[in-house]
Amino acid sequence: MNEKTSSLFDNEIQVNDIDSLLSKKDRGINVREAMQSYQMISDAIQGKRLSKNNLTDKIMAAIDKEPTQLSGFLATKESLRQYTAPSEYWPMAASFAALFVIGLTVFNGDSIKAGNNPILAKGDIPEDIIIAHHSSTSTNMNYFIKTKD
Amino acid sequence: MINLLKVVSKSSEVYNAPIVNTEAVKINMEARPISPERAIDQKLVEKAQKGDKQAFGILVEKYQLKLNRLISRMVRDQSEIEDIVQDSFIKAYRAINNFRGDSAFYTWLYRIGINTAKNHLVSLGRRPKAMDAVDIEEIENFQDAQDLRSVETPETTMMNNQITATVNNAAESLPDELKQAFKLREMDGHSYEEIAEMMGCPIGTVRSRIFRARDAIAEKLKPLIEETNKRW
Repeated sequence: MNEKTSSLFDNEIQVNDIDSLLSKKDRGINVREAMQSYQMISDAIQGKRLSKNNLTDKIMAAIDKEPTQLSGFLATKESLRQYTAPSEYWPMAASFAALFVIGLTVFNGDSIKAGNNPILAKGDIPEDIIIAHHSSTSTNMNYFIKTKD
Repeated sequence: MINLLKVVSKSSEVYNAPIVNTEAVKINMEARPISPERAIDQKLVEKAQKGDKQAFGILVEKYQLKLNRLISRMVRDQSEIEDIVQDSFIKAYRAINNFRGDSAFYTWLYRIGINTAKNHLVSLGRRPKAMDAVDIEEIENFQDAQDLRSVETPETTMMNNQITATVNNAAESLPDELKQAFKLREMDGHSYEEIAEMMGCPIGTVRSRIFRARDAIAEKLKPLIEETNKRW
């Protein structure tokens, strides 16, 4: 039992404390049991007949079978904001989408024409192959002059 | 402009729910501060409307005895009373999203309870008593109906007497400041604020003292309660 439950029994709990009172799983059952105990103590001290039944348990067993109610009239804007808040994965998804769009643009854009995007092969081809190619090339200038046939 | 709207629930009960201009209600509610009890109940209802069944369970625990006493004015058989109380709370849970906070939760629950009891009596061919003039406060204090109709065995009477004696003895053996705060609350019905003023201490201290008093008494009652649970 705790102080907040005792205050709740007396209707003296701060409204802001109700969330923390019921925050843990099954906390509601503990609160109900404590309230039953306080009711018994209260009735005894006031000389009233002690009323003991397990009706709350029966009612809650029936309520547990009911579909959970959501979004009633008194649901606050804050709670609605929780349900519509942006997901933490949105920035990642946005990045992927941007990359996709850029990739699509590049892929569908102008095809690579010779001379438009000169491929610099020097860095890719090993040096010794380039030297061997140069050495096998004819030194006769006429080799390179195209003549009409 | 107030229009009457008939809301039909799953069980085909008809609850007349006045629909009012919400802005006007908000203004009115801002002008008239609601009682702490009503604010607490409203918070519990909000949580229930967001799917917290435990919060609704607190409301059930809080009001099931009161509703029991109310229904006992119309129905004699205790098992029938319990069935009607159970049905009333189930109907209240199903209709919880329709609760607008225009009235106190218990007032709304009271209407559901009365209708459920009336329908029960009509279904059994019995004529329900007119309940329109019933004073809610009168019903809350009216225990005699249950006392007369309850079937207590000598064993349960003896157990009750033992529990009462244990509670009173435990209360008398409390440290003075705990005893005083506890009795001012339980026997005289003073608010925490009033007790704080009388005892010349902060409200937080009053809260703590009352809790510690209850805790100490409950500790002494524990063995007896465990025994009682086996027998009741």
